[in-house]
Amino acid sequence: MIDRLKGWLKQLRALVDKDALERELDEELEYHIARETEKRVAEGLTPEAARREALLAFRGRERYKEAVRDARWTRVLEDALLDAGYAIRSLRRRPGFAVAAVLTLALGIGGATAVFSVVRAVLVEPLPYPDPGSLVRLYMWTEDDPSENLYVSAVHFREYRERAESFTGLATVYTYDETGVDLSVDGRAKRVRTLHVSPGYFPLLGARPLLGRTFTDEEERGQAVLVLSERLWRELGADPELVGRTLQLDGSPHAVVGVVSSLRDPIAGAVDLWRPDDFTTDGAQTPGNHYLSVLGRLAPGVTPDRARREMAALDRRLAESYPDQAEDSHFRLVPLQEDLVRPARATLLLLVGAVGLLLLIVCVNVATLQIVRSLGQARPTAVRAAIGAGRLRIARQILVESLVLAGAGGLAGVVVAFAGVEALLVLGGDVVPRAHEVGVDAGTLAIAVAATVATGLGFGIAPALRLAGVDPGQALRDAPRGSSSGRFFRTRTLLVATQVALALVLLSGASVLAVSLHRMVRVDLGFRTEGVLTFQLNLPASRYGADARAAFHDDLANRLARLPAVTGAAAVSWPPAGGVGYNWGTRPLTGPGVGRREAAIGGEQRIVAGEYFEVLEIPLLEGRVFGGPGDPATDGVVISRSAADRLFPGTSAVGQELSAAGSERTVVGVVGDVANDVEATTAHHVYHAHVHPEVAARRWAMTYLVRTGDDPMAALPTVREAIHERDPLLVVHDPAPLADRLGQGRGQRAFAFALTAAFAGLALLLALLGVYGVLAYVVGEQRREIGIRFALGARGRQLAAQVLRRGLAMTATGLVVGIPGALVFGRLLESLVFETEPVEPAILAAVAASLLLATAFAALVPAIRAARVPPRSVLAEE
Amino acid sequence: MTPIPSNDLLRGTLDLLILQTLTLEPMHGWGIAQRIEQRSEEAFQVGQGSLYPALQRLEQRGWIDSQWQRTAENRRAKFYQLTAAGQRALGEEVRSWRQYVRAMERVLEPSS
Repeated sequence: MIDRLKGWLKQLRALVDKDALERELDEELEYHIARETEKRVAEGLTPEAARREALLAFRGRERYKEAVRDARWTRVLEDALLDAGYAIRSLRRRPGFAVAAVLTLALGIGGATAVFSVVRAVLVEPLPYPDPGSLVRLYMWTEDDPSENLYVSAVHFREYRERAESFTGLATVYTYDETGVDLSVDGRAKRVRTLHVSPGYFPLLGARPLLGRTFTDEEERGQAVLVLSERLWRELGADPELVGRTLQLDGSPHAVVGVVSSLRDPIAGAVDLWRPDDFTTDGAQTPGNHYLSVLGRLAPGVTPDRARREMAALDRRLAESYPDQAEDSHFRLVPLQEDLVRPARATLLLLVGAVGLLLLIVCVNVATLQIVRSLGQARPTAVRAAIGAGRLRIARQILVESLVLAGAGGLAGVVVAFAGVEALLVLGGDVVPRAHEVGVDAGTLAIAVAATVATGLGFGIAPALRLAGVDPGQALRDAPRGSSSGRFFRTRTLLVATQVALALVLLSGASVLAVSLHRMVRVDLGFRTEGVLTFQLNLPASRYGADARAAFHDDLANRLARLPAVTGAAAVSWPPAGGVGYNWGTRPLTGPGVGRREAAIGGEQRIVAGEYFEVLEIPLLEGRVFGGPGDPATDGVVISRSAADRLFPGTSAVGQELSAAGSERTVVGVVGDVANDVEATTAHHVYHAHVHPEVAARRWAMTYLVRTGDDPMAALPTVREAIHERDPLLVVHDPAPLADRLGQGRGQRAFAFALTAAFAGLALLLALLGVYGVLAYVVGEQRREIGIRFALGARGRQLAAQVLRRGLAMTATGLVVGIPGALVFGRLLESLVFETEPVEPAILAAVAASLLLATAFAALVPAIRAARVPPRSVLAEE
Repeated sequence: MTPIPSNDLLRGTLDLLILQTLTLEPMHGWGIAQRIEQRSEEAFQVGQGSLYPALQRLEQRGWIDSQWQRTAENRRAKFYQLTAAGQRALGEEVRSWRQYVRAMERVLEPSS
C-alpha cells in the first residue's frame, strides 16, 4: 500500500520539475545506447559502425520517450498545462477577441450566478428554523368567499391549541399594525417594531433566549412584559442587567424578561421586541373576529393531509359550539415555506428562464467567435496534425482553451455576480421574500464554477469538433478559402441570426413592460397624488384616553391646515392606494339588499379626520361628508360609489343603514371611488369619522396627509414644529411625499421591467458584438480576394456595400425567426402586463427597425476596412 | 531457438520477467535486458521500446524502486530494485502464470 502510494506520488515530479525528469530519461537511454555500442565493438565492429547499429536498434527514440511519458498517470495533466500555456499565448496575440469573449462570459456567468443565488435562497433553501418542513400556516375561510384566506379568531385558536393532536405547537402572531409603538429611552422616543405573540411562539420557532426567558402561559393576558431582540438590546447598550428592568413603552412601564438572538419572524420580518398577546379582551372572545396569524408545527410523522382531516373534525365541533358565528368557518393549512414564496414564485421562475436564455446567448456568441477564429487556425492545426497529433489531442487542446477563456470569464463573473446580487436586492427588496437570506456564499460560488465549466465545454465543443476534423493534406495545400465557402457562411449566419432573434425577443419584452409601467404611472387612482406630504402619528395610550384621542386628530389637522405653506390637512387610518387594510364584512340593514347574499361585501374600512376628501380631491357625489367634532354626521359613515351600488342597488344610499364589522351605522354621504392599490384594483370603501367614540377607543395610528405646494418635504420642518408645540413627545414617523409612497407600490412591476431591460440591453450588446466579430473576421480572411478584386477594378464602395449587405442579411434572418418568439414571450408577460395588449405591432416594428440600424452600424467598421484594403500589400503577403 | 521479437511479448509477461530478474540484485535497464536475453537463451530479446515504458509502469505501481548510482566503471546509471510490494506481486504473478501454463497444457494435450 505504501509502496504503491510512493510510486504514484513520485510521478508528480512531472508537473513540478519536468526538465530534470526529461534530462534523466535522456541520460538513461544514452547509457543504454553506450552499452549496446560497447557490446558491438567487443564483437568486432568499428566504434562508428557499432554506434550506428546501436542507434538503429533504437529507431524512433523520440517515440520511445513518448511511450515512457504516456505511461505516467500525470500525462493528461501535463498536456492540459501545456495546452493552457499555449492557449494563453495565443489569446494574448488576439487581445480583441480575448477581451470580447471574457467580457461576454463574465456578464453571462455573473448574471446567471446572481440570479441563481437569489432563486436558491428564496425558493430552494429551507427556512432558517429547525425542521422547517414541518412548519405550517393556518388560515380560516368562510363559505362566503372560499378562496380568501382569513385571519384566525382567538376562540378558534385556543380550541385548536387544546385539542389538536396533529401539532406539537401552535402559536399566534398578531401582525395587524394599527398602532405604532414608541420606546422611550433617556427621554428620547424611538419607533420600534413590535409583535404580539402567544407564549408558544418561541419554542415553535426553536428560539432559545440569550438572556432571561420567554413568555409563560400565564402571561398571555397581555402582561406588560417584553422580550427584546438582540439587535435592540445591543443598541440599548448590551447591558446584561437590562433583564429585569423596566422600559417605557408607549408611556407605560414594561418589564424586560429576556433577550432572544437572531430570530426573524417569517411573516413580519425583522422585529425589535415581542409582547404577549392578550386573550382576555372582548375581541379575543368573539369567534367572528378574525385577526390572528397562526403558525404551527406538525407532530413527527404527521402529514399535512392527516392534520387537515383532524382540522375538519374540529371545525364541525366548533360549528356546533358557536352556531351563529362559526357555522361556516373552516380551517386551511398551508406549508409555511410555500405560503411565503407563493407570490414571488412566478416572477422568480421567469427570471430563471430569462437568465438561462442569456447564458445560451453567451455560449452562442463565444462559440461563434471561436469558430470564426478557428478558420484562421486551419493551417497551424494542419501542421500539428501532420506531425502526429491525434484528433483527440487537437480537440482536447481547443477544449482547454475554451476552459481557460471560461475560467477568466468566470473569475470576472464572480465580481459581476456580487454586484448583480446587490442590484437585485436593491431593486427588488420589497418584492423578493426572504431577501435578507440572499447572499453570495460558498454555494453561490460553487454554482459559478459549475456554470463556468459548463459554458466552457458548451461553446468549446463545436470548434473542437471542427478543427479536429481538419484534413491536414488539404488544409496545407490550398490557400485559405474556407471563409467564403457556402457551408461555413450558412453556419455563421445561423449563429448570428440566433443572437439577433433572442435580442429581439428580450427587447420587445422590455418595451412592452416599459409601456405598461408608463401607463401605470399615469393611471387615474381617483385621488390627488402630487404635492401631498404623509407621515404617521401615534398617540400613546398612557397619555391619551379615549376622549382626548377622539378630538385630537381633527384638532391637529385643522391646526396644520392653517399653517402658511399648507393648503389642507387630514388624517386616515390607512394610506390611500396602500393595498388591502382593514377589510371587514359589511352588509345592508335596510333597503333592497337586505338579506341578499350579493349585497354583502368585504368593505375597506377607513377612519378619517380633518378634511380628508377635500385634501385628496375625492368628489362628493351624494349627501355630505364629516364636518368635524360636534357634527352629527360623524355618527354615520360615508361610503364609496361602488359600495353604494352593491349595498343599496337601484336606490340612494343616503339615509340607509348598514352593519360594518358588527357596528350599525347610517350612511350620510357617497363619494367617488378610489383605487385600492397602484394597479387600480377597485374596492368598496367605508369611511368612519375618527371622533366617533367607538372608533377612537381602538387607538388607531393615523397617517397624516398634508397638502402643500410643489415640494411636500419642504413643509416638513414647519409641520414638525406645529406638532411639537402641541405635544413635544410625539414622534413624526416616516415622512415622505405621497407620490413616493405610491411609487414604492409599483415595486414589483418596476422590478420586472428593470430586469428585463437589463437583459435586453445585454442581449443587444452581445448580438452587436456577434455581428461585428463575424464580419471583422470575414474581412480579415478575405483580404486576398479583396486585393484581387481591387486589382481587377472593383471600387471600394462596392466592396463595403457587399459587407454591409451580408451583415444586414444576417440580421434580417434573425428578425424573421425572432418575431414568433417575441409574440410567445409577450404572452408569457401577460400576467405582469397592465393595460397593454402584449406586443403591439408598433412596438415590435420599432424594436426590429432599431436592431437593423444597430447592426448596420456594427457592420460599418468592417465594411470601411474592406474598402480601404490596398491591393498591393495584400498580394504581397502571399 | 528463433528469437521472439519483444513486440509480441504480452505486456504482463514482460513485467513478470523484469520482476524476476530483479530478485537477484538491483540492476539498470540495459542489464535487465541482457539478463533476460541470457536466461531465455536468446528467445526473448527485449527492445528499448517496450522495456523503459514497462519500467515506468512498474515504478508507478510501486513494485520497483529506482535510484541513480555509479556503476563499476564509475558511470552514472539508473538502478531498479524490487520493493516489498513487488516481492509479493511477483509471488502472485508466478503462481497465476503457472496455473495459466498448466491449463494451456491440459487443453493442448492430444486426447488419448
